[in-house]
Amino acid sequence: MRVSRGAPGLGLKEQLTVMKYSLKDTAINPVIRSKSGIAYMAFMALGLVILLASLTLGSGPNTSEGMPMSHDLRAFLATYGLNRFVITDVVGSVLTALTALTFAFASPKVPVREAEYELVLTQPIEVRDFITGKALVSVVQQFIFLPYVLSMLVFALFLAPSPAKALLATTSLLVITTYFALLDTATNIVALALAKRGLRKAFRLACLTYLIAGSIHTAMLGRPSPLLAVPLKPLAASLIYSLAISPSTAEVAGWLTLSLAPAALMFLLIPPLADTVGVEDLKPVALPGTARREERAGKGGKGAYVLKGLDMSSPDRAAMSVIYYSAILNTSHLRAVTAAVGVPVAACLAVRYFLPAWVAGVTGFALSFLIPFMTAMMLTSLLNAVIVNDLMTYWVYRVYLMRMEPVAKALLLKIVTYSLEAVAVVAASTTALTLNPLNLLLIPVTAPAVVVTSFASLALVTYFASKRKIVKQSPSGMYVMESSVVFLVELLFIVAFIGASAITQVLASINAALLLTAAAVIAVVVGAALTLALKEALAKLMERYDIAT
Amino acid sequence: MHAVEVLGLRKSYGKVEALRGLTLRVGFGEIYGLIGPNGAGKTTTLKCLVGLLKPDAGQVRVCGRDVVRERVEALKHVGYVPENPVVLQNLTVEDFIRFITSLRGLKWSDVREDFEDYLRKFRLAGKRKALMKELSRGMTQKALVIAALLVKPKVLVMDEPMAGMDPEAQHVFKEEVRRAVEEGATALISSHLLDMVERFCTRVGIISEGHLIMEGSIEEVKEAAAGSKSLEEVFLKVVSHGG
Repeated sequence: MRVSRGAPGLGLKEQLTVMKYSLKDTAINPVIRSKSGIAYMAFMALGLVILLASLTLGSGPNTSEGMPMSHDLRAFLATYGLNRFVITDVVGSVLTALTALTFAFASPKVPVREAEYELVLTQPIEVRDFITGKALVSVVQQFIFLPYVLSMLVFALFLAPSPAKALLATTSLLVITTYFALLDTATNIVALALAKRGLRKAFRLACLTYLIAGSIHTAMLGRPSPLLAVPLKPLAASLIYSLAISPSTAEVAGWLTLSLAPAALMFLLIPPLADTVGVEDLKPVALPGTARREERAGKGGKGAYVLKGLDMSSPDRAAMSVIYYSAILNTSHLRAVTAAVGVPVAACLAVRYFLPAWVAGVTGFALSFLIPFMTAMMLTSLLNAVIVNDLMTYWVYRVYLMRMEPVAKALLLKIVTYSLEAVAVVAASTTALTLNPLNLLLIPVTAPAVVVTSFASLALVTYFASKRKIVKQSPSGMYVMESSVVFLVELLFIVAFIGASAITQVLASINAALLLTAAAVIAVVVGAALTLALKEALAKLMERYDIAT
Repeated sequence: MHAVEVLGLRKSYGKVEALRGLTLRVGFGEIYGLIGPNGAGKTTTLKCLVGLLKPDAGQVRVCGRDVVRERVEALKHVGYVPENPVVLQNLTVEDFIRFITSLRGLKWSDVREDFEDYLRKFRLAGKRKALMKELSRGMTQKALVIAALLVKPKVLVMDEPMAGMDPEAQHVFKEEVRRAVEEGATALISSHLLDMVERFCTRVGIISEGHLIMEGSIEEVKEAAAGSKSLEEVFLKVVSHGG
């Protein structure tokens, strides 16, 4: 009798097999199978070794308070009563709020890459083992991607008071990112299990009620409520205490050990919950967010979400309509922008009225680090989306439109619009904190920098797409290496943005309305001129490089 | 002047030479079948023809226009159906096809009648308002074929155009391509469906390791391959013996 080869085996072996090949496919081979990838990783590894060596040999932060920058930051925060206990409570509250929101709005579909859906899941392997294997991948990826680790170490070195604490801070950051990677998987499965029992809405309501209760309690106390601050305190404390002077290394190590518990809990939740998942619950999608978008699209009127009808009256208008207007002028995008502006503005107004002592501290931290960083991260992910949504259909334009200028113009304007929307979040938040509308002029003032970085990012993406065939082979957009290089380009934007926002704030504070308006007008003119010039340059680049689809 | 003229075409991907001096000519009014084993260079040839890939050396001409130097002029004559179609997922079928014709500068009112006709023939009328992402592979293929036919190109370049199509749609496809050819167009089709190529194409080229190793009408290649009875037999003889 003919015997089939292979049969279901023990779970752990399958989980490790899934992990091994998934890592090879997504993280290892894309780097080691190209000379530039190897060179890049070698460069990063060398940087990591040098940094670690300098730490152990004592050339790192060796004073009791670390580098001057961290000392200044602590002094600055202390001025506003922001000591490590308060900051730990705030960070803990934010982490809890993010966790609750992720649980509340998670999709009840587990996203899977198309190739895995077609190939792996047709093998005799339990869905539970597949999902657990993928969860393991998300854990390992945090620790093996050197540029990521290196950037965290550099961040920690600047802020930590000692080399040992810098290492602890880096480890703590990695634990936090691992926690969120596992949370993403766990929440999808929990949402699915609840949906099958008809409890999803009740659970969402419970999560939101908890958040609202925590927020009300916070407002009543005038400081973060224990309801929000305590659940994930170990994660927050291990990071914040490693950047503080007073706690001993042993104390930080203790918090770090405790911080493993939430990540471990998430990981341990996954296999038993995944037992309830069937293959039909897995959603073959290109991007993790796609499942959620498609779920929403299925509920609404398909295609009708585009506010401005598609204009097909000329080739240029058709390209603009499909690439730009359909992405920008649709209700889901407008809702997202409204929320992205509205929520921080509401938070800033709340800080202004309920916690006035925090205004300067919050403004400084948000404008100098948090928001530019988040913006750069967001732009990198948007470029991924551009690759998936626009460059993957590039053949249509190459064959049927023939000229690349309309495509280049629409893509450039799209990224510029997304960037300016991010700037609008900062400008509106600053205005809410200071109640000075002159801060809104930050939006036009940053226009030239936005145009240049948008062009640079798209040009890089075009180059990568031609060299590494990422359009064809990476279903989720860029590979990690490309993402990190684009992120480095976005750092240019961060520098330009911080400069522009500092100047705008100074001019707004001294009420130099005329000067600021003139600067805004000049910036808009320069930005428009740059857009005109760079769209042609981008079109030439797109025509020059092959992007095989 | 030939509809398609490829002279000494070379294209490499890093160290891998996909095309090693390929030369082929396709006249107007021909249905030319390009066949060959996996990795022979068929798709690379077609991508060079439609300007998606730039040749390392050699010339590619469509209707006498150099695809590299006179890209826009050359591509005005081309309709293309790719091998692995990635389409604009969130457009409806009608919008997608309107979009393609609009990119070509065609007025919808001028093509609408033909569009309706194709929709009916390919049994896609019920899907005109469906999003492209909701279509099956075969239906996507039908939409791409309709788009390519609708711009009335002089040269139809199609890479495995019937993949996933049901038998009725395959029949309609062949009828419509024949009709386009009768009107003066040329079809260059890459396919592994040797039975279809044998019955449908007027001439065939066998490509292997980046070279054209045999070319001619179906009868000519059968004769040349020691009196083979079918194109499949020709293929197996020629490819396994390296021509």
